[in-house]
Amino acid sequence: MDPALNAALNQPGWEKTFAMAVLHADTTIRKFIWRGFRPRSTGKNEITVGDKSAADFVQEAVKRLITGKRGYDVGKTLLENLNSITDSLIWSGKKQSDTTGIVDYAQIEDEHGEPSDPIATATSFELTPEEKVKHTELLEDQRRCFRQIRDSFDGDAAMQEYLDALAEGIFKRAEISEVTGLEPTVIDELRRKMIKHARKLFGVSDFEELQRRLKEGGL
Amino acid sequence: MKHNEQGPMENLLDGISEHAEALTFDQLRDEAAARGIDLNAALATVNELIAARTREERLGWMKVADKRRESLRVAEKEARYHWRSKSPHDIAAAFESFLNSAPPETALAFRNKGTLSTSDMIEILEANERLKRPSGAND
Repeated sequence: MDPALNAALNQPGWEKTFAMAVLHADTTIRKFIWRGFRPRSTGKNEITVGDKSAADFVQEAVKRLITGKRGYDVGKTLLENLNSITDSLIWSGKKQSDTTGIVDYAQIEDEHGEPSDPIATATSFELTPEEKVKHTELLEDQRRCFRQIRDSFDGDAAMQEYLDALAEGIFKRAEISEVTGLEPTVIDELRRKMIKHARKLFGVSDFEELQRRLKEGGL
Repeated sequence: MKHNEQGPMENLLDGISEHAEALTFDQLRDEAAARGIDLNAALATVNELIAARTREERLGWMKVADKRRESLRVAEKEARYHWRSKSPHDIAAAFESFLNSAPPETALAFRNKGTLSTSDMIEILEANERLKRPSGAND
């Protein structure tokens, strides 16, 4: 086992790193829902790709690192290493189990010879008219759902500013704080409130279910 | 929307995921549970995976050590007995050669020992070879 990897796995924060990697993997799978992918559910809100859950993907990533099948990049943190591998594995798993008929991408392999996520890595090229229509529809789905969530926080200006920043792709707390004027501690509190209030966001297996739940109970 | 650009819901999910850094392990576990993930079970599985690999690597070194020790034993055995198959003439010649090539103090040690038997010469030649072998090779 790589000595740097061994040291990282023996750090006191290993459990938290693993937890964050699992949540990252789960988020990655759920993000594909917004690209038209329909993952399976285990019946407990947990979603799977090709019979593998987020935890399964992270376990596989750890296995590949400790057996040397994937090299440990000492220039990155353990979490970044794990996230990079799970992203590839999830994309590969999704590709194999994909029956949604969403846009078919040419398979791209990373430096380790494994399929990489073209959503994250592809360079821009012209889409066919049919693909453009599909992407426009998917984007409109996202905007509509985001508006519903945002509207549910009417009267809470701080929360709406936080949501707007995230929707614009501003993820770093320091940057959100800079553009919104919100203190980082307030941002943490908003996140907690958002998660607590919008647990259903993570409890759906597809967009239709999310819409239904939004209509039934609101967020 | 370009095909490689994320929409607002994807960004929302990414942002929430990134901000998980500020949470404690217990909070992360609760959040995972809300998503249907049993984090404790997953952690136990992966820790066992790591422990098994560590054990395997440790045993791997033991296997290498055992293999090396065995090869040294074989070499030792060969060195110990190969003189015994030689003729007395060859042994006497080898002993003479040993005395000639040995440091002066070694040659001096045998000068007044009288006539050595063939088996004495074998013992001395074998002992000399053991001495020349790297430290630990006689174990």
